[in-house]
Amino acid sequence: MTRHGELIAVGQDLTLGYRHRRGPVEIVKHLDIGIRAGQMVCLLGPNGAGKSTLLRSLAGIVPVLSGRLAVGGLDPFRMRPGELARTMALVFNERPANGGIRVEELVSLGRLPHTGAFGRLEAKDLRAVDAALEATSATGLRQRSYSELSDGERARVQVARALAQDAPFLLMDEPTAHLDWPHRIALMRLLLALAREHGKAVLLSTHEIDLALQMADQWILLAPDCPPVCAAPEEIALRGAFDKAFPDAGFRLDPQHGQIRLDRRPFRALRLSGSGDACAWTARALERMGWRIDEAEGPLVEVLASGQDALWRIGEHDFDRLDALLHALARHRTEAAEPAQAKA
Amino acid sequence: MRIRCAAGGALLIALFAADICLGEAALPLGKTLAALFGQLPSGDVLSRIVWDYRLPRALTAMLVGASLAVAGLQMQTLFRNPLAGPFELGISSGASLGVALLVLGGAGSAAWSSSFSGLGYWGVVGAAILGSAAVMVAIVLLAIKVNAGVNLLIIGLMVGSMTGAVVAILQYFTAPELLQSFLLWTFGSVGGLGWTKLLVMGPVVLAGLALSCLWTKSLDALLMGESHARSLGVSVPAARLQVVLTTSLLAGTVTAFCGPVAFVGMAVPHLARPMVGSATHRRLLPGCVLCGAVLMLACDLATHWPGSSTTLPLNAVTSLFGAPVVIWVVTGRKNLQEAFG
Repeated sequence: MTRHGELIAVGQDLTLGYRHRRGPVEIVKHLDIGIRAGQMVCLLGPNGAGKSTLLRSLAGIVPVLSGRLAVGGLDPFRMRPGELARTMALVFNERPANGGIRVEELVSLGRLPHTGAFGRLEAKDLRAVDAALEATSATGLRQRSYSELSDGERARVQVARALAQDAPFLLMDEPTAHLDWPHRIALMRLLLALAREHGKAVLLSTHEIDLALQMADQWILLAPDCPPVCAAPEEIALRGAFDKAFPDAGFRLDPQHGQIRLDRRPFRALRLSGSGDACAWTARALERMGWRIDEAEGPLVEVLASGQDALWRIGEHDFDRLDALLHALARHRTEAAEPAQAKA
Repeated sequence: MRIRCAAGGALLIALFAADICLGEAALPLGKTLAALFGQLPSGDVLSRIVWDYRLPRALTAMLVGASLAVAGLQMQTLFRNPLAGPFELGISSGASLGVALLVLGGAGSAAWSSSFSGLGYWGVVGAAILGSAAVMVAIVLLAIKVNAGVNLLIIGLMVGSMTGAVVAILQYFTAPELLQSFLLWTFGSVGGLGWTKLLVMGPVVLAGLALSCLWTKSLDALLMGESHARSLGVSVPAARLQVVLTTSLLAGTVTAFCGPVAFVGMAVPHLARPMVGSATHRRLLPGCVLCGAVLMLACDLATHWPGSSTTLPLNAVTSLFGAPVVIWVVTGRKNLQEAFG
């Protein structure tokens, strides 16, 4: 096992892309990366920004156009398959051919680099398969056919295969892509645990900005017309690199809440008083409806009680449901807007 | 799984015995066994039927079935396409072209006639293997470009059509008597080989099967696709070359002697997978050998049904059973749609 903090993958001044007949096509320029054992690194950026190209370069499938890339000290494109197998395990979006493969067999494929000429599994290989299934909570699936698993189960089993390979570096191309929300969180948690507990360096491309912000040790943020960055997510947010990577996209990173917020143009102001969860949720709902919460301006919305018995009051009207409150406010807004339109 | 394999073995023996006993003249089992174990006088008619005709025929059927099935299995894995097979992707057509160039193209016309010498057989085998290998290399190169799926089947179909066209042109300029024997050859047959030809085909095909068994590990790695295969420590170009070599040896040789046999190579792996209950080639490959041999014996039995004095074309029989298997594969399996997705 590699020690936590040891540098697994290093890239200096990388230019990524592909060679075309008319010359090289550069997709990513001047990228520096450093991925350490025990870290989970999320690769983010809009489609076409070069996420897959970086993954394919790291996996030694394509060469880098310029710069120095080393995984475990070696250039992945020049590694022999055996060295590659000892260095990294991949979870790319390729389905197993022909179907009919059982989970146990699929996870055992991860042991191929450790077996002899005929691929016969020995006791240590079987133990590694058991451990990988255990770590991904997939032990119960081992006799099932892969083709009849749900997307979430498939993702877990593929991670188990990569884990069984026992390589220090896990490279994953959008492992959360087809999963529903709880499974996305579960898979990200699993990957983080593999980094922390098994000392793996985990690199995954993903579109889960929110989850990546909460869980990743580092982001590699790629975007067209924007210098690529590799740093802690908060550092990226602080330097404004995130907002630069997605300009005019209608959202930004909200430093107060540490989450993605859609840009809104508040329609008009109101005052909100009260406390607790009910007040927080009311504020969110009002913002969603285009209201700006103000200290002094606009009508007063009072939150009288929180929790199950939540109660709201505007003037002398009481509301026992948030829906009713919002509906009343929406009517109030259009009534207020009409005279203004008439004037115009 | 053990029980199913034992049942398969028993079925193989039963069909082997039936293939020898049944035919234009049905032979009693006891006497057939006596003939097989050399307990009849040497000049006996029954002994000669068994030894000179029925036994080589049954052995050929088993070798043909096993070879085509293994070739089909390897192609399905390499091309990640459940409908790949030596006939479907034009490998058999390539072999036909090789043979046609040799036989109809002039130089080998003497070799084709019934009196051709031992050297002539090797020439035919070599031409068929080279023809298969040429098509296989072309398809492998195209597969790198088109990314498998339906496109690959279309390419196979087109390559088959092209080689077929060249063969048709060659036929046009060929003497009628030569043409007739060539046409009969394209119907496919496991009869009429005799020991001399079988002793050429057998070793080549067995060598192909042995090589296939040696190289199952890289096939397993290819199950997850090529970029995964490489990260599992397998050299993908080497694996491609291995499959080209073994499928050309197997399908080419079989085609040279028995004609292009339809569907067997594609269909048998689909029958073997549920029987073996595994997708790893270390288990699946012997399963395909067994299933292929059983199936080909059954098909051969159907071509020379007892009592009938004529022999049906083998390809008609294999298509009758093979085409429904294709339909079953296409309709019955969700993962097929995924494979083509």
